[in-house]
Amino acid sequence: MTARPDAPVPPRRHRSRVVLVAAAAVGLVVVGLIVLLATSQKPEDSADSPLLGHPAPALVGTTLTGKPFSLSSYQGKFVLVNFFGSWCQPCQQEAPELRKWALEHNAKGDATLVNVVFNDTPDKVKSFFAAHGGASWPVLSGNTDSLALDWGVSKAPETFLVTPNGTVVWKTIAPVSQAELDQLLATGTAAATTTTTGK
Amino acid sequence: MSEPTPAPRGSARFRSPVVRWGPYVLLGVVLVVALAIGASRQPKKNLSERTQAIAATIKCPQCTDESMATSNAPTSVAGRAEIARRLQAGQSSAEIRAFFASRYGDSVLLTPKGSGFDALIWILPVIVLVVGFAGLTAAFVRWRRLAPAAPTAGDRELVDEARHRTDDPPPSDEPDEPEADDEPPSSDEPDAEDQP
Repeated sequence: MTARPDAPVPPRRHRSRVVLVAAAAVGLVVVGLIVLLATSQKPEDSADSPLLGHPAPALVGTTLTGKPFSLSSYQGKFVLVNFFGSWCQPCQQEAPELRKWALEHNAKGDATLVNVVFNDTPDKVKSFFAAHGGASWPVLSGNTDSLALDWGVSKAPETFLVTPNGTVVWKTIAPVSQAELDQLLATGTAAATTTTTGK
Repeated sequence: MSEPTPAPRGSARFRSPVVRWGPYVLLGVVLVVALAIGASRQPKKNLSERTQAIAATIKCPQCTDESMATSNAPTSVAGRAEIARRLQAGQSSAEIRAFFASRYGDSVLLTPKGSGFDALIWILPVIVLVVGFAGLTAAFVRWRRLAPAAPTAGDRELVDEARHRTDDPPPSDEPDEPEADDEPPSSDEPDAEDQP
């Protein structure tokens, strides 16, 4: 085939530069998105919650023994709010640890445990506590689904620490231990003392 | 290279701007009016429908890939009741969605927010569309400027060469058929001189 002698020559250099710039821009965007996705990955037991640092949502209900309960009446004490279900394996695992911690701090009077039933029936919960030595602390039962919603709970167990002034300062979705909770409380108490004394 | 002569006024190639751009403007006006009517004339929804509509934009906290509208998980049932309660209290869809985001984080929202980093989800497609449209328009305009490609002397030479090649019959071993040679040329075949 013979080449056309007078055919217009496309501006190849200009076009290749445009393609290069466009490819670089697209590549930059893709790399940026990959970096963003890679850095925003959270660990499986992430305890991030929009509630942290904010006043605790209302926690009002009826206990297993039929008594009314309100979190606001516990102002001045640390409160550990634990959402649990008798069907949940990690809940069964942490139950003895929570019991020891609750008994110790009930005696001291500096903190209290509040269990909130999540996706379970009162009968099964009663059997659960009967098998784990009973509960001398409030266990909220009945219509607790709206409480779970208010606290942003999506599975069990989920545990929150509320400071004496009613602020949510810690959350975990992993089973807790007595030692971990004691250390947390010591840190929280020190922080609270620092805040109140202004140091 | 011979320049194409400008089309005289009134010929097929000359069109006034109104004739040329009128249909496009009309199309744009119809599109905007249709979108405006479609967006403004939403049918009135009752409380249940409004609840479902909002719940469809919120993720079921206990499920995987399911909205609060379709799930029967306890938190979804409680969530729908909470949405209905808040609607009755006069809260807007945005306020209700903000409540769920304040409890579970922004990841609970199935449709991204229109602010912050999430806004890119809504803005990027529009930018891509506008840039793509502008690019195509620029390309079409450029092609149009190059369009009336008049044949050059080189083109004519090439065509002449090609026609001469086809005029010369290839050598054949078979005897000539005088009857075929005497036939007049087909009227379907254009004369070489008629070609531009």
